[in-house]
Amino acid sequence: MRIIINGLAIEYDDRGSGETIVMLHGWKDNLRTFDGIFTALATSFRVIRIDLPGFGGSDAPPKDWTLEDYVSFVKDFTDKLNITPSAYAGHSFGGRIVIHGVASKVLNAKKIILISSAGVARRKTLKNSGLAVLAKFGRAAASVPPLSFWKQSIRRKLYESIGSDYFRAGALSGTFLNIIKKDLAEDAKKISLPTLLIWGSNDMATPLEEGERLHSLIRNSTLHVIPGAGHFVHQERPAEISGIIRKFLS
Amino acid sequence: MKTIAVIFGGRSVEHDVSIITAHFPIIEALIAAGNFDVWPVYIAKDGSWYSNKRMNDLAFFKQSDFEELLAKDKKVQLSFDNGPSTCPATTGGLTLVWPGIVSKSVRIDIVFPSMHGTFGEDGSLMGLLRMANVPYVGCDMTSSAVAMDKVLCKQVLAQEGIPLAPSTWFTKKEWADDQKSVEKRISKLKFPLFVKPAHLGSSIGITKVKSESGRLQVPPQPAGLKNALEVALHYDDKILVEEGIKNLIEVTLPIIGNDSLQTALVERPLNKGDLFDFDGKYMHGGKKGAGANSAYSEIPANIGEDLTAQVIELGKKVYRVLGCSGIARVDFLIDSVAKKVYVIEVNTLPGSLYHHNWKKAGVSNIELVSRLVRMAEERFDAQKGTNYAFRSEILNKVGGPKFQ
Repeated sequence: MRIIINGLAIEYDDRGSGETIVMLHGWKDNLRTFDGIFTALATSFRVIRIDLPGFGGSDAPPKDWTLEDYVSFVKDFTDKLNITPSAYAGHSFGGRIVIHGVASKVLNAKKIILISSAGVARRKTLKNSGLAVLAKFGRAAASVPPLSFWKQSIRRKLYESIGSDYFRAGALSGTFLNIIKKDLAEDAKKISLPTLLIWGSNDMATPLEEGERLHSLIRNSTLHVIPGAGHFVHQERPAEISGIIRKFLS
Repeated sequence: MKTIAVIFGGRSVEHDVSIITAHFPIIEALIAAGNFDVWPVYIAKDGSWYSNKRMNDLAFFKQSDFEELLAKDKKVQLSFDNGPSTCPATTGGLTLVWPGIVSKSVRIDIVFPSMHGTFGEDGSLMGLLRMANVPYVGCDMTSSAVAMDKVLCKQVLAQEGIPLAPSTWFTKKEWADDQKSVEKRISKLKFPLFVKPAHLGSSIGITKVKSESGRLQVPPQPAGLKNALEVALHYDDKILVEEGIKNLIEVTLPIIGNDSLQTALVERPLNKGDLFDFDGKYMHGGKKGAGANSAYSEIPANIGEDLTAQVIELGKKVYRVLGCSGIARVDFLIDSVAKKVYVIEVNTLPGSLYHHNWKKAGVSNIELVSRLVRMAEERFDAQKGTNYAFRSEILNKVGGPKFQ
């Protein structure tokens, strides 16, 4: 179903009753990423999953958004639905929104769940900021002849060095740069809510060491490592993940 | 060999669906038919027109950077010209032109519009092609325009005694100026209600509202009706609010023909949700190229002989009342207890031509597109018999006593 939030049509799913869990998906993903755990959790909770602006069936942001814009959006969404979530669950980029939202006290909940969350890659953050500048510079440089003749391949090379997500971000590329340059270690330190961290041991996108780092930064956190699982651990082991979440919330 | 332009894309929320319809089955079947030189004409979301044969392959549009690749192409222009055509059945006058120092042009004999929604299926494109004097496949400008406006369509069908669900409608301006009067009209309808943007297809922006406050719903919705109206007004400036039908069975019937009509099989979408919405129609088909969702449909619908006959009779009547030609699909709601059939809307370009249904009805993709092309030529030929010229002396009289 759809709702209008600050002039944007937003697709979301709302099922079940009881304590409310709001689920936020990752970059270039959509609410269906939670298919495997959504229905199972909706038997005990009211579960709401959102297509974030720019993804799935939701309108794209009118300009390049920052992480703060996404946090404000989630706040406005919950206000319009008149709900006070008991928990936020974020996967990857969705985890960034939860970490920053809770740390800045814009988003309020009793507990949070971070699944393969992004935001505390020690090496990558520095690399990302540098490459973000390089990408912007490269975009300008590649428009000047004779470089413009190789514009596409120059841009592709640059973007590949940042990460393939940027090249695929298309209209959201500015937003992507805004998002990746922010390190959330300081935010993580501010979080005192009971936090469940779920990680696949074979996660290549946000490796387990990032989960361990979050575990050490968030004082009241529990880390659940799923052996053999990758970045989309909630899709690979839905029954196991919904069981862990259910236990954590009860 | 006839040169045919398949026009798709466009400034519509159904842009992507249009790309699928153009390729599956239209372009694929036209190429397979072997007697067409197929030129894909793609209208980008910003309204720019492009044509390049590499766009005959759907894979082109699956590239993440296809818009950047397109931006390097020369935009194509349309030239209207009433010179001779290579197609003997026509005196068509449309040429694709790529301007430049070395300009290139391709004369088009027939156009196959493959556009859903605004600026395409709504008659706009058909008006342009009519001005160009080129034959085109599918419904004409008037029937397309009437069918695309759900409110206007209901008004026309009501006049002809076609059974319709009770409804009311309003414009964005009315809502802004006199919300109370709109709410009063809506309050006369019985819940559940369907709130629909008047001009959009593929169920985009449609909300089912079970109660005014939404409190009766589980989970509760934010001010149910008001939220639904807000969503619909986000997409359109004319809104239809329609009563739901009890004991509901939804069915649809694809029809082809100009004067003599052929129906496909009555099809029942087996959606699990409240709405056979955009996702239900296009996202869960599973099989690549299935287009409209064949996996979740019952074909033929198991609704009994009487209801099937009613649907077919009513479908043909609606097709004729609106003046459809070529192809259209009529959607129905059935009260399965009262055995009453209501017409809900007409689609003048069914997604992917509903080729999955035609296939079950014994019409292959190649046969379907070939017949549609023939119907376009026949209609164009028939219209040549209509005299649009009228000799008058009125200009000579300007300045005479009557005009003083």
